Amino acid sequence: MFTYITKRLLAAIPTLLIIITIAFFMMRIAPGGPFDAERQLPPEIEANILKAYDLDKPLYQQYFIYVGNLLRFDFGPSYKFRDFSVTELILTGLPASMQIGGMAILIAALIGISLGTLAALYQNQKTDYAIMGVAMTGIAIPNFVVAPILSLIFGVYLSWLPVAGWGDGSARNLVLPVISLALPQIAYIARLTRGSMVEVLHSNYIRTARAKGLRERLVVIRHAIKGALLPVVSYLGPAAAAVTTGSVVIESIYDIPGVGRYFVNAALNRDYPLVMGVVIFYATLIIIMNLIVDVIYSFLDPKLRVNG
Amino acid sequence: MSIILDVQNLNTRFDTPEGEVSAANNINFTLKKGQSLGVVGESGSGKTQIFMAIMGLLAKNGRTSGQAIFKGQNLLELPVAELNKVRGVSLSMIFQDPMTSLNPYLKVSRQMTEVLIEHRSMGKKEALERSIRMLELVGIPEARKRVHMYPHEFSGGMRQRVMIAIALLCEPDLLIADEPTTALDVTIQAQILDLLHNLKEEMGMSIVMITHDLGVIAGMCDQVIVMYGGRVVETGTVHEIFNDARHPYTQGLLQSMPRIDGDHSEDLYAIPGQPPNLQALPSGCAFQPRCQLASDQCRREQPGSITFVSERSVACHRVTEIIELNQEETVNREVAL
Amino acid sequence: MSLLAKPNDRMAAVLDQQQNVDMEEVAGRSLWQDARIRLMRNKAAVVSMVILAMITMMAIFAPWLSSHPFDEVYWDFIQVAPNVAEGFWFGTDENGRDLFVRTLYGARVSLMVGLVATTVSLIIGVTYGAFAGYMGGRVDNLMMRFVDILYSLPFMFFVIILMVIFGRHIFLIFVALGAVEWLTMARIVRGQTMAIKKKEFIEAAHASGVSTARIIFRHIVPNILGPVIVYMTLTIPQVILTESFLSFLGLGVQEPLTSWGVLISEGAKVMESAPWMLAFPATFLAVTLFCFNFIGDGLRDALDPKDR
Repeated sequence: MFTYITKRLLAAIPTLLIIITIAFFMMRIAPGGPFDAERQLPPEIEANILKAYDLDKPLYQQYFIYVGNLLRFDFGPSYKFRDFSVTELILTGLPASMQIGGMAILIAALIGISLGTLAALYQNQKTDYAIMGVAMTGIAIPNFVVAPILSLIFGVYLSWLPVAGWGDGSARNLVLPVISLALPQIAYIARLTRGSMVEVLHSNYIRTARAKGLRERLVVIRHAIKGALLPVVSYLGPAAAAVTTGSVVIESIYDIPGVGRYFVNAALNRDYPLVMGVVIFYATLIIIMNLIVDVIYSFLDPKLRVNG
Repeated sequence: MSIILDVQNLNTRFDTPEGEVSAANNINFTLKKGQSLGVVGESGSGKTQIFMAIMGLLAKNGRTSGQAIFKGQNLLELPVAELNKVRGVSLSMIFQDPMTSLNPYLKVSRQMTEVLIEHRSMGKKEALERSIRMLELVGIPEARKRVHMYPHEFSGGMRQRVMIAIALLCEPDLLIADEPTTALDVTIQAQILDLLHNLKEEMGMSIVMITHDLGVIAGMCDQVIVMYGGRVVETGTVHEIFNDARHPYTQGLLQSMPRIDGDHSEDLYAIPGQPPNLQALPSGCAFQPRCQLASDQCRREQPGSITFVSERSVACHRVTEIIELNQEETVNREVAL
Repeated sequence: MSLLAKPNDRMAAVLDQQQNVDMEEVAGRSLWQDARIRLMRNKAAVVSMVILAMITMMAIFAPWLSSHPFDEVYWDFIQVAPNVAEGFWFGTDENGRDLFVRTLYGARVSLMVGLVATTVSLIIGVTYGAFAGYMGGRVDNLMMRFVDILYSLPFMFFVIILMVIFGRHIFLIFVALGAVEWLTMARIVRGQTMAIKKKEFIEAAHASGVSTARIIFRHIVPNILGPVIVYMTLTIPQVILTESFLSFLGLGVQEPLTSWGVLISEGAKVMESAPWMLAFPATFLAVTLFCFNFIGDGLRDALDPKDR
């Protein structure tokens, strides 16, 4: 198992390098520099600034300097927030982003799997139609519509929860962002679970389990769930990507000081190092998530298990 | 001998988008303790569905009526909780495809011990010991080690042995075997049949052998039911079916069997036409389009079952003529000898 | 007497088992006719098609459906609620422009993006997947490895960077979204191609010296249309959603042009005082996404009826 994880981590390096390269050159061929707003600066000062940020060097040198710095986890300074390094900024945003993202995925998995299983057990009955109807709604109504509506209902009209903001990061501030972020994923996971559960429940080995006279609860929990969860587990990687992407709007809407909000601001301000830092950070996160998913998968499916 | 399974007037139907489809009509038979019954028919003849209905394993769109009295209880009307005290305990079933019939995600040990823990209230340890002994009984080498493996680590024949071991854990009175050898290699098929035969003798249980292969029946069974198009067309002892088949379909089946002692100059016989589509059965007798003896009456009317002696019946309009022909043939054969 | 099971018997046995699960067997109709009948039986899909057709017609004939131009500012009617007397059926926005006609112009952009970007993804995905699947071996391995790497990229972020760098031209949105969505299509097409290329008619074409490109486009692609169409139907809402997402962040189409995402973004800001500005565009977007998803599901069930 250890060798497997090491192997996978090594395989992730070229992927990361590709991401870094694409991001780097895309940012650099962009028209308009980071200091466009300060055009009135005297030429010598501008040259000094460029020099300080290595922007006077040839592009390929800048690239190698950048990659070299990355190896020391140095994402460089932010162009916009001059007093902070990109690493510092990402670390500032990290706790909030991780909290809402992590909770959203957890909740999506728990509720999605339960709803999907329930729907499969009552296939083509009212419960099934109701759950799938709700799931379809979750997919069709984007979270940037759901979020403002939730905040309007629970924040403004009912005044149960804060309309927006992070405060001290207490549970009250978390509820709405986490729900908005989790809803579409709940819907996807419920649909996925239902589909695979229906298939498993029709499989020969479930028929065997029933022929053995096992109680229905045992048939479902012990015999069906494991097989039915495999596709759901492999979806968790893409789900993580979707949640990180979604967190960009959710953090903007609810005004949460997370990585996603930095990203939007940085992109609009052409703050290259910050944008790249966030992209690389997210990419790493998604790669790690995919790795975790593969490990869980190999635990669930004995055929894939590496040497016991 | 006491009767262990008494099936009366059993019907199975499926609701499909194209309408209701009857998979088995008016099925009647009895099975005595310690005896074995062969159920023969082509695919779609309804032979499997009868026993799926009895086991309560029909697909969700399936419905059943009639009676199936097993040890004094009508299984068709038992609530699932009660049925679960019978299934896997005194009534077990093994299936056609051992490759997919075991749960690929659970160790064999788990799939065996859970039966004993559930039905016999055994502790884990005791259940495991009993499972290992059962695996040894069905001829799995190194059972103590292999019990902890996953199904994909077993070959097809070995998996079917595991299936049999699971089915026999609670020493059932009746084992239903649904084409247990169809998916296996030829050499393995013989081994599995031998195993079933020996186990039946040792444990004194009854067996229902569902198959499309008359060869399987010959070595195993006492009684035979021949099915066609969702109906029983002929019943009798193995001896009667093989030596005095009275339904044209049974005769066709026998003729299409390759024989070692037979005449090799002729091509193997094949019943002309296609197996029937249950959704669009022909009028009258279901076998009529493929039958060389079909008359107008056959095309018009569904033949009723004619019982000669108990457990010996035929459903054919032309049965009297066939009996005469059979007798002539026997006489001729004797004369020739 | 023999224990020899003939191959036919095995086949028959397999069929017998299948019948056990569903007793459906319809003879004598072609796959497509069959699929059409099943699709027409699916009420949700039929209703969706009708609604979608209506929305499309309204988008096409938008200029003739309202007496107001989409970019005219009515100074006397700034942010008024729906007002039938004046012909502002959906009210006006904060610039005093008619929301009804703007919603329909938004529909034009959103539907157009959905169609064009999906077509782009279709062309790339089908070509790439069919080629990889047809070539097989090392070429296939390399090509699919590349797809795997791209899969692990946080694509949304690249699209955002792209929009930031090259401006918000609508053409760019088509290409960027199309380029993001082709990966799954390529995988599906590759799998189907692998299955079909072993068929006799492909080998016959190959043996008689037909060129690879011709085999792929004349013989393989027409035979894998089913899954391609299903996935295409499900890609369109995905693309529309992504465009709205970008527009919501302020990275989509630019004024005076509009899209549902832009309208929703504007509406969300004033939803307390002018709820209609959020309600109408959000409803149109949600209904459209609903319809595409229902049609996609319906098509899938119609073309592959194993899970009912």
